[in-house]
Amino acid sequence: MWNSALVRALRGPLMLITLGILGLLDVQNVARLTLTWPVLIIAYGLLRLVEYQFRPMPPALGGGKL
Amino acid sequence: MNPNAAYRGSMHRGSWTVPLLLIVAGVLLLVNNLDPTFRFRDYLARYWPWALIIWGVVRVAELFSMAAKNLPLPQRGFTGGEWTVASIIFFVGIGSLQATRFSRNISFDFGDHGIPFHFLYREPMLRDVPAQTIAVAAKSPLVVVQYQRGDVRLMGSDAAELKASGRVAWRNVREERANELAREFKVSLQCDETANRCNVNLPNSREELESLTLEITVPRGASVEVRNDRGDLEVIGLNGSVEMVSFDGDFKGDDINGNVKLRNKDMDEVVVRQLKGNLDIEGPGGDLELEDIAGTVSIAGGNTGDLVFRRIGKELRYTSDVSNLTFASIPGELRMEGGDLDAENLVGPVVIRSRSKDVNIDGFQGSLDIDVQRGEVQLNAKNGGGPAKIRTRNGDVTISTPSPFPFQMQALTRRGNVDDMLEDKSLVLQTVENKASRVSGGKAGGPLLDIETDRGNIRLQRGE
Repeated sequence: MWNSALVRALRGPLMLITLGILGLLDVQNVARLTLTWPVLIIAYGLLRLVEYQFRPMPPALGGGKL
Repeated sequence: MNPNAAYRGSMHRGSWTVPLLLIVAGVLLLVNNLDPTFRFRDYLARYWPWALIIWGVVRVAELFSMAAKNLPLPQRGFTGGEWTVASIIFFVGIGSLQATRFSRNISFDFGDHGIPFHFLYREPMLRDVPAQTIAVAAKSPLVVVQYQRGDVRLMGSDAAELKASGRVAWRNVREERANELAREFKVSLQCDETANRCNVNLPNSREELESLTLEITVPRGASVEVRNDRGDLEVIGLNGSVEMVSFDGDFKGDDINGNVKLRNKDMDEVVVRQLKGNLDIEGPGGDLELEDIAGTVSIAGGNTGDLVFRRIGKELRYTSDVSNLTFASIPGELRMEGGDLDAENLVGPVVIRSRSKDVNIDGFQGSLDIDVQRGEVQLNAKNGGGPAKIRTRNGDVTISTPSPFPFQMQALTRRGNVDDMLEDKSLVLQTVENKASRVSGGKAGGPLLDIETDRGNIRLQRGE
C-alpha cells in the first residue's frame, strides 16, 4: 500500500494535525504558538525526508550499441 | 494529468469533512443567535484546534482507504479549496483566541495537566512593589486609583494614612531585566493640600507585565474611585462610596457603608455583601451575587451567568435585553440560573417580564405581575399574598394555595385544561370553546388572581 503518492498525499493532513496540536497547546496555555511554530518547519522537513525514501528510483541507464 | 484533477475527476465521492464543518458552524451560529447565554466566540477560541486535528485524522484515514482501493490521491492531501477553508479556520480561530484573551483575560487553565512542556515558558519573575505610605489629614478623603492592568485589594483602616504595596510578575524576561523593570515600577501617592483628594497612580503597563496585585489601605471614612483597563477590585470595610470604571474587571465588596457604582464593559463576577448604601451596576456581566444590601439595587446590561440575591432591603431593578425584573424588596432569596427563576419570600410590587423563563415563587406579599412568553409559572401563595396577574404565551401555570381558597379568581387557558385539585365550591370551571377553559369565582372581595395562558394547563392545588 505504501507508495510515493500516498506518502506525498499524507503530508498535508499531517501538517494540519501538527498545526492543530500546536494550537491546542496554545489554547490550553501550555506553550504559545509564537514559540512553537518552528515545530512546523521541523515536521515539514521530516515528512520530506520520508518522501525521499519512497521516491521511485530512476531507471538505470543501460548500455547499447552506439 | 494533474493528480489533483485526477482526484477530483475520479469516482471518489468526495470528503464529508467540509460539509460537516459547515453544518457544525451553522448550528453553533444558530444557537448563538437564539440563546443569549451562548458565546460563539468563546467556543471558537477554545475548540478551533480540534477542527484541524479531527479533519487531519479523518483525511489520513480517507487517504489510506483510497490507496487500498487504488483510487487517485490528491497531490498534497488536500485540494486548494480545502486548504483555503483550513486557513480560514486557523486565522479566525487564532484571532478569536487573541481577542478573547485581550478582552476578557480568560485563562484556559486546566490545572496541573502534567504535560511536560513547561520548559517552553520562562517562569515569570516575581518582584515586590515597594511599599509607599503618606499621611492623610482628612477623615473622609476621595481616593482616586488609576492604572491600566492589575488586581487591587482596597481596605479601610483606622490609621490616618494612605498606604500601597504589592507584587508584580514580569514574563519572558531575564533576572536583570526584571530587576530593572521593578526599579521603574513605583506606585505614586499624592494628596492635595487639604488632603480631601488623593491620587494613587501606577506607571503604564508594559508588554512584560504578567500580573499585578496591589494592596491599598485608606482611611475608613474615604470614598474611592478606581479606573482601570483590566483588573479586579476588592473593597473591604469602607464608610465612603465606591466607584469603579473598567473595561474588564470583577468586583468584590464587603462591609461598605456608602453607595457602590460599577461601570464596566465586562464583569465575569460581581459579589457584594453587607452594603448599607445603594448599588448601581451598568454593563454586561457574568455571575452576580448580592447579599444583605440595605439600599436600592439597579442592574442594567444583562448577565450571562448565575444571579443570586439574598436579603435585599429596598427596591431591586434588573434590566436586560431579555428580562425586566422589579421587586420592592427581597427578604428571602432569589436565584436565576439558566432558564430558571426561583424565589422565596418576595415583597411586591413584583414585576417579572421575560422572553423565556420558568418562574417558581414560594411565598410573596404585595402585588405580583408576571409575563413570560415561554415558560412555566409556579406560584405558592402559602401566606395568601396580594393580587397576582400571570400571563404566559406558552407554558403551564400551577397555583398552590392554603384552604379555603383566598383569591378572587379569573383564569383562562386558550388551549389547555384546568386541573382543579382544590375542589373548592366557590370556584366555577367552564369550557368556553373546544380547547379553551375558564375558571372564575373564588373568595368574594379577596385579592384578584388573574391568569391567562395561550397554550398551557392551569393547575390549582393545595399548598403546604
